[in-house]
Order: sequence, then C-alpha cells, then structure tokens
Amino acid sequence: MKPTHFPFDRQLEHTAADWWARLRDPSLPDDELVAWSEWLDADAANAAAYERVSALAELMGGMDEVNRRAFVARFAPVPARTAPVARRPRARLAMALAAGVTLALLGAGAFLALRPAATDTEARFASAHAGHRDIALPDGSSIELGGASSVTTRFGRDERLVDLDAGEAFFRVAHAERPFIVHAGPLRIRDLGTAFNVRRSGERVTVTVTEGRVRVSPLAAPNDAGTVELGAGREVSFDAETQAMRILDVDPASATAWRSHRLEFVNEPLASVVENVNRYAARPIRLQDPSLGKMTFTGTVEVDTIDSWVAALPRVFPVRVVTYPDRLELARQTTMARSAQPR
Amino acid sequence: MDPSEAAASPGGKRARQVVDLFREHNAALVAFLRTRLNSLADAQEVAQEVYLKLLSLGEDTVIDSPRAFLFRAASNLAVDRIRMRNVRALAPVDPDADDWHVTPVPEQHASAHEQWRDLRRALDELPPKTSRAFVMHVIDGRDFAAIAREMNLSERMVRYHVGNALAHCRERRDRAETPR
Repeated sequence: MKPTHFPFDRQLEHTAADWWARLRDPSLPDDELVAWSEWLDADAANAAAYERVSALAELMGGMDEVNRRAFVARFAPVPARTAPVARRPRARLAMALAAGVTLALLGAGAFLALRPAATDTEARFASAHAGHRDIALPDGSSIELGGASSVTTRFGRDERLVDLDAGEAFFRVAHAERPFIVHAGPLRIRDLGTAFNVRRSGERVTVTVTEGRVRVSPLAAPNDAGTVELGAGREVSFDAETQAMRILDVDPASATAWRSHRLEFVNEPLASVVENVNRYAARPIRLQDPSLGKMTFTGTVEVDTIDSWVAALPRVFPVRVVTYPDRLELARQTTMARSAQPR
Repeated sequence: MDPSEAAASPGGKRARQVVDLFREHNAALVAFLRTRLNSLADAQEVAQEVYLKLLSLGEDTVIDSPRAFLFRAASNLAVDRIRMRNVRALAPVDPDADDWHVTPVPEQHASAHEQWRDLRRALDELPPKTSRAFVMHVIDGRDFAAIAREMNLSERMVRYHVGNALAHCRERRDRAETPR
C-alpha cells in the first residue's frame, strides 16, 4: 500500500504508535488487546497506520550491528557506573534476517523509494568575535547574532527550528502557522508570536521576552513538564546544574542592550558574565579560581571598554587582575589590600 | 497453510470455530505477533503454530471469549519463540551464517545509508529521554522494565516515550516517502 492513499494524519499515526508501544508490554491485559483489535478492524486507515509503524519498528529493530552500536552510543550511552551488558548477536542476526525478508517483500513499494527530506533546509550562521550579524530568514523572521555566536536553522514543513549553538541572539519572529522553536542547550523555547532574546553560556540559558509570549521548557523533562510561559518584560534563567527556572521582571531594553554594544547583567554569576564578555573581549578573561565564578554581578559592560571594566572589578569583588599579553586573569585577592592595578 | 483448507480434514465443531476465528482475526493476530516479535516473518510462522495448537484442543475445552483466547495463545507462543531466540543467541556465532546478511542487495544498500541518517536526524529532534528510551527498546532490544530501572522512570513513561518517538520517526519518514 502506498502512503499517498491515506494523507498523513498525525493523530492517527500517534494513536497507532501508542498502540504499538502498549502491545510491546507482555503484561497487557486481555481487554486492552481486544480493544486494540477492535480499533484495528474499525477502519482500513487504522490498519494501514498500524502496519506502517510496525514496519518502521521492525526495520529499526533489524538494524545491522554497526549502525546499532552507533545509535546506542549516540542516544543511549551506557552510564559509567553500569558494567557493559553482553548483547545477543544471534538474536540480532535472526532479526536482521527477518528484516531482510520484509524489505524484500516491500522492496518494490515505498520503503526503498527513500529520498532525503526535501522540505528540511538546514543552514548555519555564525558571527565573528566581537562582531554582530543580522540574518534575514526566508519566512520573514530575523535573527540578530551577538559576538562569537552561532545558530543552525532547520525549517521543515511543520516547524521552524533554530539551534542556538553558542552565544546570544535576538529573535524577531514572523507570525506563521508553523511554530518557531529555539533549542538552546537544555532549553526549548517555543515562540507564540513575538520577539525575544536568548543568551547561552554553556548550559546556562537566559531567555528575555521583549514582545508577545514564549513558552520555555527544559528539553530533558518528559511531557513538557516544567514549562513556563513568559510575556513581554519577563526573563527566565535556567541553570542546568540545579534544573531551576528563575523568573524575573526585567526591562526588555537591558536584555537587548548588546545590540547597541552594551552588555547588561542582573544578578548573573561572574562565570557567565565573563563568558559573555569574552565573546567581545580583545583579550579573553579567565578565572584562576572557579569559585570566583559563583559571585553575582549586576551592572553594565560596554563592549568597547572591556579592559577598563576588568580593571575596575577589584573595587567590587575580592579579586586582583593579572595581566598577560594574551589574556587577563582574575585571581582571588589574598591580602586585605585592594587595589585596581591597570598596567 | 491456509486455514480454510486445513479445516476440511479435522472436521467437527471445534475446528469450524477455530477456522472462523482465524478468518475473522487473522490480520489482527499477525499484526499482534509482529509487534511482539518485531518480525513479520516470525509472526507468520507463529500464527501457524497458534492455529495448529487451537485445532488440537479437545472439543470439551470451554472457550468463553474466543478472541481473547486467541491472543492469549498467541502471546504464550510468542514468549516461547523469544525464549528460543535467546537460546540461539547464547550459542557461539557461526561465521558462515553471518555472510548471509552482510552481502548487500545493491539498491537496498544504497538507500540504507540515507535511511539510517534520516532516522538519526529524526531522533535528534526529540527530547533526550524520548530518543533514549526508544533506542534502548526498539534498537537495542531491551524490555520496558529494564529501561525503567536504568532511566529511573515508570514503565508507563517508558512506553509513552517509545510511542512518541515511533510516531515522530514515522512522520519524518512520511515526508521522505511522499512525492511532492
């Protein structure tokens, strides 16, 4: 049967896949099995959808050993604390044989007529160190990238997906039926018609909404658990270490101040501040002692005068600045004497 | 073996009942076994075993819910089949047998690379727990209970992730299959 006979029905496909997963449970009660078979017999489209999900599961279950290992390593790496479990090569082989037979049966049909998804176009954009970059997207949306930042866009038929790989970006989203989704490390940000800013330092992410609404969810949580919805003038910071979402009322202009060459921070850990400043600094700033990074900073950094900002830090933090030709280091101040020592 | 042909020899009320049962539910039975065994070829074989087993039941066996009875018999035989596979899995690998499937049918081989790449991309789009549960179950062949323990989730959640990932992969694949 050709998939084109039944236009793709997302709901039906989900129902079929859900049944498939339920039937995989050997302790499924009889009455549920009977309910499933009634569903299967009720409509040829149901049976066809079930056949499709079964065929796909079988195909993947019969994956060759090399690919199987690659998939397991990528998506289900064995945790370090668990001893590796011996797998069952012969069962794999039997499954592979069975899958081979199925493939042969379906050979003339849809399964081998595979092409790469023509609808997904992927593009990567990056800005230079201390540079800015404006990106106009084909759907009318725009992204303004801060210094040393990069995004990957993947626009499909059903959604517009952007990965913030590093740094900071301001999104202005053109309204469309396809949702606009930004992945930033551990967070998923779903736009509900709007403009917002995302700043990522490793796994620490701050989302600030300047117009409209966005929905922010931790990627790791099932079922959209922990989702928060933010309106204009609100900001959420997610700390992957504590899995905590901190919501603040902010001046949207301060979150996007970087667009006019200023970085503004409110109660931001120094480690994150330094990482953000480094996207613009001529000489990178390093923390000699990681514990310094936990102190919080509130204030403005002009990207044109980063060195003088660093020189002034010993006035507010118990640090001293050690200047090297290629970097600046912040060291814990050991004596009572505090002095700014620009050299 | 076609059930309606085989029915001629045993005769009797029970045989007629079994034949009717199969005529009505054969598609669901094979679909069910295929799900349990994740192999259509094995499902078809085991469906025949179910048929023979039911035919061999005495006339005096009371079957109150024939359909549930059919699935229960199938479920038991599927468990036997999986056990048999596992026994074979413990046997030393016969290197000659391996050659059978590594010899690729050329056109199959050409599309295989793209197909796995597309599926990997589809899984990349999912939350890590969802893709992880799916890969552990469908690709690595581990049962829900073991995955639930390792991921510290309920079996119901594992099942939920597996179903979601499967639907998502189907959806992505549909795009690749549908001519536009």
